[in-house]
Amino acid sequence: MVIYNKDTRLSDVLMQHPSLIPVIGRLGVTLGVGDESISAVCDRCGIDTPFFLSVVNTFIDGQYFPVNPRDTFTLEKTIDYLEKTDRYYLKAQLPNIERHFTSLMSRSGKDNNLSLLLKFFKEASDELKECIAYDSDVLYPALRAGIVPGGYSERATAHNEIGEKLHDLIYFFVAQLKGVYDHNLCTAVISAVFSLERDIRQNNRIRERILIPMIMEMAGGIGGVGNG
Amino acid sequence: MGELIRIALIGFDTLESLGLRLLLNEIKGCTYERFDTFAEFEPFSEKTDGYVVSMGRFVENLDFFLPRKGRTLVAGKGDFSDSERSGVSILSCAGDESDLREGIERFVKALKGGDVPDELSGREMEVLRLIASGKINKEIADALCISVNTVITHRKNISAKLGIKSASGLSLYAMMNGII
Repeated sequence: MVIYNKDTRLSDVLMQHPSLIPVIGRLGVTLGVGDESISAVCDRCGIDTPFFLSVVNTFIDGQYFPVNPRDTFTLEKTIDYLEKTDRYYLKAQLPNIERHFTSLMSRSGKDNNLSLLLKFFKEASDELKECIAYDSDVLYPALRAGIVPGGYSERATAHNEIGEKLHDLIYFFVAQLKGVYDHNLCTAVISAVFSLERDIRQNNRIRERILIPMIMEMAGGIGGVGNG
Repeated sequence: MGELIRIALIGFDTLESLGLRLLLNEIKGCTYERFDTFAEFEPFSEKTDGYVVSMGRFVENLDFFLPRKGRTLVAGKGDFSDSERSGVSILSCAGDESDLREGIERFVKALKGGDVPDELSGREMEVLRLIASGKINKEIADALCISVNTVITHRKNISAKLGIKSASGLSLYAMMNGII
């Protein structure tokens, strides 16, 4: 896997990995990047280039671990990025899947098992919303105040489990769907679920390799974990 | 088996095909045929024992390849994390020559031995029923008089065979297939 550096043209990276397009949006870059290098884009948008590179490389490469993450990632930058990611899930991706799913159900009649798949999606969606609510209401405010709430690592595991459920949902569409359904809308739902599942999976690497070590260090530094 | 193993090379450019043919030529007992597109390959799918497929064609035709993942090898360059997660064998261009040779040999050997994912065993079916009824590992272990570690091993095998990762996914599978 290629590791991108500051001189790589951002357009080349995005053409190779289109799943990064929402990620660069979260980092503050809008499309229409011309043939600018990553460092030129970062300078223009006021983004720290090493931070940008670490997020991008961690996101696309399962084997990549940021070098000197403590020099590159501040807690505030990391939380800010994760909050934007959560907002993207809540405001864009989940409603997008729900909209497509609703259309699929209404255009596919009753002679199928789609309602079971919709129920399965809703469970995963509710769990994701619950995780995001915990992060935004409890975890991030506590971390900003220098406190480590208890149970944060279990919550991090819950993010992985949601990714697994979305993976399973794709499996149920691919292998277990029965009856008559609208093919185009079904493809749209699967594509949207696949996009969210991949984003969660790739983003979990940032949570596990950057945020969790920061929290563990904080917990050590402040003499233990609070009750949160 | 004894008979020749027939392998389809699907979706590779000329250079990639040359490399794959070079590797396959070194292995006895197999023949191969190249197809540029999935549409070209499809009429021959019944007459083929194994599929070496590019990442692009694999992703576009998951409904064909996932149920046949024991007979599928995804080869090429790029991000393999999706195919890894789906349990499909991969052959990365980034590997060195001996890795590529070993990867192809292992794939052909598995085809010869008929080493494709099995159906669930009776014990795994029992574990699946208990998972689907909401039991946790300890309760399953007690119900079947086995250790928790054995339950965990059964769960891993069930997940690998079905391609389902979550407990609620396993429950839904059991329900949809009349297992509970």
